[in-house]
Amino acid sequence: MTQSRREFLKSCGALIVGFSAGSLSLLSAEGQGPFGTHPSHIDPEKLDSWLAVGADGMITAYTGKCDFGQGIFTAQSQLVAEELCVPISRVKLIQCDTSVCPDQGTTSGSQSTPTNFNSESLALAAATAREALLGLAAVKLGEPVAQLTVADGIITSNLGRHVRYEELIGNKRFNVPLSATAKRRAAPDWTVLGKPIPSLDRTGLMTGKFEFVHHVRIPGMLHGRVVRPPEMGATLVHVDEQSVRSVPGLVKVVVRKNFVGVVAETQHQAGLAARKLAVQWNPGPELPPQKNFFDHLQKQPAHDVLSVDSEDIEARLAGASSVIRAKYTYPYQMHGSVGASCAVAEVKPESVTVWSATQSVYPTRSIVAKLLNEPIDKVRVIYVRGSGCYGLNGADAVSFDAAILSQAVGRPVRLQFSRQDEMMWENFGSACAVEHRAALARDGRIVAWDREDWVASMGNRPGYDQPGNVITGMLLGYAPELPGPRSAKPPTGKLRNQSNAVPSYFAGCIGGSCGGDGTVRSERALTHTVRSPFFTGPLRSPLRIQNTFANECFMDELCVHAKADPVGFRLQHLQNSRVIGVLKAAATAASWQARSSPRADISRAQTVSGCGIACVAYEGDNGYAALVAEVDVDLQTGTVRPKRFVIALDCGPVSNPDGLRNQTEGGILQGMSRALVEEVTWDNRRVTSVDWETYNSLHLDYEMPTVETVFVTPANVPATGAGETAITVTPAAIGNAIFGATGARLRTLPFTPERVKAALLSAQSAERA
Amino acid sequence: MKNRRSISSLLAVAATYCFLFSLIPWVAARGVERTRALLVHEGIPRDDAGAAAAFEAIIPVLHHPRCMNCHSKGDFPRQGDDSHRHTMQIRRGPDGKGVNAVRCSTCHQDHNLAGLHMPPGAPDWHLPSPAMPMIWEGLTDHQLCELFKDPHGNGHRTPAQIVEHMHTPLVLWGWTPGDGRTPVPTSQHYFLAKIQEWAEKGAACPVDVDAPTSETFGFPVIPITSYKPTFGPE
Amino acid sequence: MREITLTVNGKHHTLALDPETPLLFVLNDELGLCGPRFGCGMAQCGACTVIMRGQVVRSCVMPVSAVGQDEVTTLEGLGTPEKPHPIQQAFIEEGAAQCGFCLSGVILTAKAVLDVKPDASDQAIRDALGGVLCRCFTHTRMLRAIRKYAEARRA
Repeated sequence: MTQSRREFLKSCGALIVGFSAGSLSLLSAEGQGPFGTHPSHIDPEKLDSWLAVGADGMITAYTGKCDFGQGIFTAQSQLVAEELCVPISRVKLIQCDTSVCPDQGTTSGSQSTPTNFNSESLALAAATAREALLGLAAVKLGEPVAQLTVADGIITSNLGRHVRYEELIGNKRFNVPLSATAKRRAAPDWTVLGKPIPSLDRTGLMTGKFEFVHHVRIPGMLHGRVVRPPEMGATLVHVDEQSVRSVPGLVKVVVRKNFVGVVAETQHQAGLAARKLAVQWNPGPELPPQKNFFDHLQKQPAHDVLSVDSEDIEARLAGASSVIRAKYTYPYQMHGSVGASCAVAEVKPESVTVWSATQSVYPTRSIVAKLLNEPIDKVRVIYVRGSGCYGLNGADAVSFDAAILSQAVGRPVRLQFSRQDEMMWENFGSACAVEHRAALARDGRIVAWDREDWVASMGNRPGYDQPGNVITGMLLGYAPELPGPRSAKPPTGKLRNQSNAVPSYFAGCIGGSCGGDGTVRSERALTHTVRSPFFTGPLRSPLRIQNTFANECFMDELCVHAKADPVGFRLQHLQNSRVIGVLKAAATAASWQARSSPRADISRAQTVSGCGIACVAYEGDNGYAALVAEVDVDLQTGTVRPKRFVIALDCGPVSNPDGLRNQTEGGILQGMSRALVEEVTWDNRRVTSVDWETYNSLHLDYEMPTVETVFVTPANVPATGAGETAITVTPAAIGNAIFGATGARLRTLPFTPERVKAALLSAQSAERA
Repeated sequence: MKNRRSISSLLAVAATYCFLFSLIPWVAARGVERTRALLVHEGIPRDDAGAAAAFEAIIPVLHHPRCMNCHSKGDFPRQGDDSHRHTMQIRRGPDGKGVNAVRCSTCHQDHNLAGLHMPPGAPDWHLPSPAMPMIWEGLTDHQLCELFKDPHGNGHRTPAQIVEHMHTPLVLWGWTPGDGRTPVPTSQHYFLAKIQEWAEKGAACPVDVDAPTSETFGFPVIPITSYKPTFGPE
Repeated sequence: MREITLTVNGKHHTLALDPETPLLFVLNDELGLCGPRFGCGMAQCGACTVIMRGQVVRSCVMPVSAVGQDEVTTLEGLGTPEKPHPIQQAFIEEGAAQCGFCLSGVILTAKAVLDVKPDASDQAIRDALGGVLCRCFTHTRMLRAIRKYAEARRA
């Protein structure tokens, strides 16, 4: 299939998708999960699948996109309130319960807003409902729709007669399909959507009343713990059940292939049993050393994909007077949810219910059915918020584990991961290496740019049928998805830049049609996906952040060679008005001073300051951002201290500016933590980042820089995602700011003091040379 | 005549020495409770060389991370076998028990908790207060010993009380520090016996390498060098 | 198993428990409280924070037998949705949360510090929060809420 799933959906306009699950590759190339809306026992083409009007006038809405702290519970409630012209207090949103909500795949990929806030799915359902109610009112009042207005759930005619929603349809079904011609309310008329409504979960959260999945309690519930292997690839030899015979309250030791778990009456007893259980394992294979991991990565057999290839790159580089090269690397990083994952499962003869913080209730339902060997119709998955996940954390694996244990004991089981369970067996954000080569003309313009990247990959989101993509499935004997070696084929069709491998400055021409954002026509972007020793999966801005770090920092290097200003040089090579828009807005808001080289003489200073900039079109067309970072660098210690960030963000029409600001700030500061301190570590046998002492994160004592946000909102563009856009440009902006302050270039993350000092030394000796 | 007297006095001294040294296994064999009961004035004569040697013998214990992590420079404790600065901005505070509402007992219990990187514990887990911080880092053996003895610096303790202090659970924790921490390698028995001996023999301090040798009982005291750990930057 | 009496948020409870049970599990499982949460179980993240004797306590590592007579205050013990505590109100006004999992650590640590030292500097408050993790990085709003509360109570 040459088109992406999203492209297909867009080309269908407002039609609700009607594919069968098996007819498409459900996992996009970057494994973010199935997007869009799918048929199931809840037919997404029917209005009643999305909305109901109660006899009391309450509007119940059903959505397949869930809120894990990013604010879409509130935003979707605003959407429904807006389209149905009711106060937000009259909207009851049910999110991600497979017994009543449509299948909208995975809540991820910055796809919730494009899916539910444009002209499909929930937005279309709400608009259809309003028009349907107007139609019913027209009949009831005996007047044409054009003479009717609606406010507060009451439809009034020009003659002053009125009827309430609940009088028209309260507790009855609409029995109509979604209407392809239903019109959304115009943005200038919005009174609820687009407003900074305080998030609806605030009071519950701050007063400690909010219930997380960790607080679900079912009568008769027992407590479980998993006993994971000591290292990747270890296989079970023997479990000595006698070793825990003396643990009070122990109910059962559960063993299935390489899966080991314990169930007990209390959490404490389960923990004791898990620690005490004597288990023998065969060791797994030795790990490649961390010290030269990227060299190792680049030598592995690879699945190759060319995103773009003008087929003249070697000739152009060969003909250039000088070629600028650089290699960038990016480590494995963790989601690092503050709360170790938890799920509750109740496996009964007649039904299976799982309370889960998964982003993918329907895929999880499908996998649970498969692992328990139960018919899928018996399984219900109910989303309950866990700790912020930032992508695929342990929420899916723990749900599978809980189901296995509950089936084994015939009672509900609450399974709580330990900190080590959560961290050691994560699907990490992929380690990547990127090699750039570029040539400039005499006037400094980029004439050719080639970039190759290597991505470590094993596993992914489990989707509907790949349990081996996470640890639980692998332990139960399922294989993870692995890249199969394949040589690159010439690209065809439209430019696909979902992982931002293609820099914004490439013209992105395939067969005469140029889908990129830039002007460079001698261009090649080649991706090698290679086998990873550890599980990988989508971590906030997956591959996009790694690629953008390499692209935007290398662009900065080209500026230096061209003796050009970083903003001006970018503008010179950009064609996309939206990228140009955010770039100019950020530079203006930050009072960017044009410069052609970093500050000259820093030898006498103790601390120096500098600025850097980075910009991106997220996934090519799903949001635009430009970020200016101002940092201080202590030349003695190598410590980098960001002082100020200024971001310009364009995500089209904004559902909730307060929520967007919260996400944007959070994304930048999380990106700062990833840029400055975060890195997964391992020795020759196993991952060694297993708790907060061994995996670094910035804590609340860290002196935060100021963050200024500028929202750019062009008219007449669709709403895009925004949860991942800001973080994407953050490491590059900081890296470029370090260069601006010191003249030292860092080409790997995190920017530890040791690496900064090494780069400073290297810059000084280069200067002297 | 002169010769015979000096020989006999030499013999007397030697006999005393032998007697004193022979006490060591006897004292050690008596166990902890008995050593606590012995006081300097119970007929054990002052023996500066013996005391100094006893103190030297426990220097490796005092320099071990299990002790040094709370007796290092600065207003913060250290942790781990690599003695890195305690994470999470933990500080000594005005009473050695933390700052404001974040105290040692915020996390540390009165016993170790099982598992790697879990908080260790012992009754009354704390640092010395800033008024008497008992910082050993950077001191020579002689200085360390003098600090031990100085009532103004050691919590107003006599040598006998120092010996008692060494039996408190917090000190003895060094030998059962919990998962992932190397216990003090010197035997606890030996350590307690030596500190007892030091106190009983008059609590004299070892001289440092560069100091002039002192003469005791007509024999020069041979100075002993000892291990001084270095700590990296915070 | 032992009979243990506890006072939590002003209420007395008598429970039959293994005395080594971490206080957190008692609060969650026996008393059904949602404020303190299991983040790490190792006193490294602060998600389990409660206040005892005016002091911050990480309930995931405190055996319930160590509580004794001291009253335990959890996040829900500060105030209710109908009548939030001023510090909770400040957090509500600032929207100082994303997923919200860390809030017991942030709010209770800040409150305990300001109770001991109402004029605590920003630096002192931040240092006290050194053992608290917010991985959504809502730091800016949280510190703004804390400052708002501190200034209001000083007034």
